Amino acid sequence: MTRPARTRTRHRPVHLAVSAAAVLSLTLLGACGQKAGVAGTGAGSGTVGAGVVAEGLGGGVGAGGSLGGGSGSGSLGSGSGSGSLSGGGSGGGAGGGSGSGGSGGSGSSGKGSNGGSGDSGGSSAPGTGTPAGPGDRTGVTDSTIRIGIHAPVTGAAAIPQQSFERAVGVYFDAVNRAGGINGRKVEVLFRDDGFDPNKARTECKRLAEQDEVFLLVGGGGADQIDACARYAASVGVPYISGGVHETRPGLGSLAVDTYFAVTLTYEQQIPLLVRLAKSKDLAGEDVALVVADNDSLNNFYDKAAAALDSGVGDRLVLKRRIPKNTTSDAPSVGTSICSSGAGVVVWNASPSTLLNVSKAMACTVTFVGPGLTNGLNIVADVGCPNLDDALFYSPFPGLDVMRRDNAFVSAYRQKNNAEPDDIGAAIYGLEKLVGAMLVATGKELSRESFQATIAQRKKFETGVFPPTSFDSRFGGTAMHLLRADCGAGEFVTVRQNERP
Amino acid sequence: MSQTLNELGVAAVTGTLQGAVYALVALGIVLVYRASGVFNFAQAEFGTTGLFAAYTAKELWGWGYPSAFAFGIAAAVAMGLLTERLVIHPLRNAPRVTLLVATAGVALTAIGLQFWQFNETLVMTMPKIDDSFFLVPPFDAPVTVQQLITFGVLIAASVALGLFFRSPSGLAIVAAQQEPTAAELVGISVRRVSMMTWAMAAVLGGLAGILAGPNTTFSAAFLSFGGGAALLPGFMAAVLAGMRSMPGAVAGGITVGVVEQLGTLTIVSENVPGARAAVLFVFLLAVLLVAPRGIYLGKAAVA
Repeated sequence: MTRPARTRTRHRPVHLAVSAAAVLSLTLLGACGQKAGVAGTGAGSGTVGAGVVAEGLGGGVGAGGSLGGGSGSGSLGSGSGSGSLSGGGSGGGAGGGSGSGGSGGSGSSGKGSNGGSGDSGGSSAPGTGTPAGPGDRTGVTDSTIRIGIHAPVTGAAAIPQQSFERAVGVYFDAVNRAGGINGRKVEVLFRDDGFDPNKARTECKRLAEQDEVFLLVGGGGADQIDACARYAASVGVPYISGGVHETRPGLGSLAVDTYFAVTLTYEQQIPLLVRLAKSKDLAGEDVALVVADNDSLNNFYDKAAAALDSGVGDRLVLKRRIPKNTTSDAPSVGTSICSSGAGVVVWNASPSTLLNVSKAMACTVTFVGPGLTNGLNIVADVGCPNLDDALFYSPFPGLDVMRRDNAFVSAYRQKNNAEPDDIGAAIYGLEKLVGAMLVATGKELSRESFQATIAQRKKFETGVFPPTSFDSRFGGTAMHLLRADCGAGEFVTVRQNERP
Repeated sequence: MSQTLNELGVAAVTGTLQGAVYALVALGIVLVYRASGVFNFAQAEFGTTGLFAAYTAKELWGWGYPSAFAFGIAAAVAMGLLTERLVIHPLRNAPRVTLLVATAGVALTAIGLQFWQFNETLVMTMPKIDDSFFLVPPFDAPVTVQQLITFGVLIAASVALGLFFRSPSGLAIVAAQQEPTAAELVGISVRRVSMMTWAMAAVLGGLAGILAGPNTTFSAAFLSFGGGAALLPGFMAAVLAGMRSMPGAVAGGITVGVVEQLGTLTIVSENVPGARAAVLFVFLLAVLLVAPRGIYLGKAAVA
């Protein structure tokens, strides 16, 4: 009779320890959801001020001429308004160009349709119809255009907060000093999305509904871009980002109304990655494919696995998905890579995960992959020497190239009184592309005319991001290849505008 | 050799080395529990605190590795002593549950301080003591020298603890734990013994943190629930040791490390999402059902 009672009494401490550990773990996990570097609600919003003419704006890489000088006239209706990048005479190309847009006119609204369905992907061509009436001019006044940018300052992307704060508005600040776009100053509002799709959607909603921005721009992070792009489409707000995935299970294609990917999507970059894995430098090395287990990367994973299978055959020795934010799993992921014998790892996961896994590995490999953020210098800075010679396709060139872009360097210094970094280059390139689209749309700016202009003109060339060709909503044509140079402590540009 | 067999071999080697960190944490947990009957939920935070101190000295102040390492251990010991003096000693007559919650409070406070002081630091990382690595035959299991150093430190700490508990000071700890009043009567300072126990536990936690930190990047709560998460595995190891056996804690830590690695086998991980943690918890559940007192009890624990 007494034995069971004694047993229970004796074992209580062990059971208590286990149950208390579980409770404490849940409590602490809730409390510690943020990693170091998380800064609460983020960087807030800022408005880019106005100024005087920026020296060399638009002329730095010969971009200006193509901005204004191209087409864009007449397509939006019968009107013939003309817009110019005011005050740009000093900038070489930019000032001389003029984009023209219709004023009013007749025709149907130029929205593209979502051509994708289910999980099969598909990318619809943006519509080129002309808008009826003045259209939706939210965020546009006679003197200003307000745009919103979101990006993962905090969270798993590991991007320095100060870099983003400095980067946002560098281009438009310079444009404003030169008189603005078609006579309007551009205000840029910035929000930290915390590398969290739910937070990203909330921030985009705030930007669209409270701040009433004209358009939204995604600075990085595939899932956050997906969340905001779909939200933006639901409320008719133009949304622009670098290319990420093309489709998502249950949600279908990302080629939604109002979305424009300005660089190659992950799927579109697969031929580049296969070519890289087969290249002379990496020939003979076994290949591993490691992709985060976000469902948005399912399509990329399947297509990349198939392409590598046919491209490198038996040399593909490992295919695996890993947690989106790999921390304590990093050693086991590293072990599986090393055990596979792979010398090349085709990688598509967050920079924080890359740093953790590469640091935990007991072997040396060459990482290659797509990505907006893996090619950032902070990754090389922290990840070296483990990441030496890593190759990533980037929408913007490395700082070794951008340091020679006088317009960029000058604009960055003028805004921040500091030397530029690569995040500054990335946001500058994105803003410059958006600026080119706004210029091309002309004076009669509405959401409809803006989208119709992109759809009709298709090609925007700024000299920072590769040229676009909007035959579909995924308008990228090429990428820049960057290599981690641990000696220099940064990514250097290997090739520019490499096409699949 | 089949792929699964090879993966098993790699898992055994990797798990053993990973288990060394868990074993260091488990040793500290068992040590404190044996001496004062307290479940120390701050044990892993001794490690994170030591790691953050070593990081500060090495990366921010530019100290050499040995000095930074020693500074990290000293910080961990300071935290252990403060915990004993400011929390455990005043609550010595309180119910055990109160003490358990109090140590959880210490852990949360430490984590809060880490966030406060290092929130703006984007990525924290420390170099390994030795960056080299090699493959262990016959499975070609990849092993870093840092992992071997950690395993060596575990062996050294285990031997040192074994010798210590045969010495008069070690016996004093045992005496103070079993009969505090009688121990005081024969001249053993229970207060000093308690401080010494917490300091030793903090050293073990500090070693775990500073040696595990360079394997990844790290952030607040690193050794509790971050990239080096060793608190729950450490508690599991201590439970396998019946919360009392020091050799059992070492064996438990290594067992937990190996079992955890079984969840990374291709055949398991491809079919069970989150298999690594799931396998571990199923294993612990099975042990508690079959052998609720633990499986590595040792003579002392049985006695």
